[in-house]
Amino acid sequence: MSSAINPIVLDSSVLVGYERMKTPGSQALHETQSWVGEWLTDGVPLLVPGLSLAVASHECGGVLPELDFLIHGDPDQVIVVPLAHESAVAVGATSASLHGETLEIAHVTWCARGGEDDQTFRWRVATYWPDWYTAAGVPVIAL
Amino acid sequence: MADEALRIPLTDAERAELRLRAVREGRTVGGLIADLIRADQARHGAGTAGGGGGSLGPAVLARFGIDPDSPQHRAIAERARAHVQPAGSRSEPGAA
Repeated sequence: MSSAINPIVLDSSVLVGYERMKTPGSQALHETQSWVGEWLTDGVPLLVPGLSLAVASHECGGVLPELDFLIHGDPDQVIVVPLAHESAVAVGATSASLHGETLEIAHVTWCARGGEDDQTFRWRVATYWPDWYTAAGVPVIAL
Repeated sequence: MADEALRIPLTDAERAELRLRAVREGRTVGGLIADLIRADQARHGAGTAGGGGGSLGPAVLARFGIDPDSPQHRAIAERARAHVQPAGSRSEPGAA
């Protein structure tokens, strides 16, 4: 691969919008796919936090054919970020509660910080619910 | 090449061993660590992520019947491209 580009983190709202092909709220068709397709074409690595994928799976009844196509399409560019030792500990410690939404926000935030302790380091989070991240201190791309 | 401080959690014994190795090779600890990381990344074939712009993007658009030249897609593509950042760029919290 040539020049490096900052990854963008996709939260569950984007994953569900992508899978259902309709934008949350406006119900506009294929908007999310256009966003994702353009980023992929531009070589942007897309990070899918594991907890965001779990939430999306729950929302979609465990059937995710379009996300499966996306994730299997290029594992170097669409990266599912697992909860492993250090990330699990960090997510548990920083989550405001044990509710799924807050746990997801903690995992998304951990991904956006690139696994670094440096509080000034942040990748952007694409989301349809930018208010989720008001207290998280991460830059959001409000779709 | 930008230098960044990286905190690496090592025990005192590990740190001492690293210093000794660096000195034995006539190198700095930072240079030694950088080479160790590069060698490991090369083994994993990781390299730097992004920038390739492979075939998945066009495949996604085709799968959903999205015409890349349509006004709707071009409008979104323009907004999406505005958020493409070179690696190492930093963003402030809040709406980007």
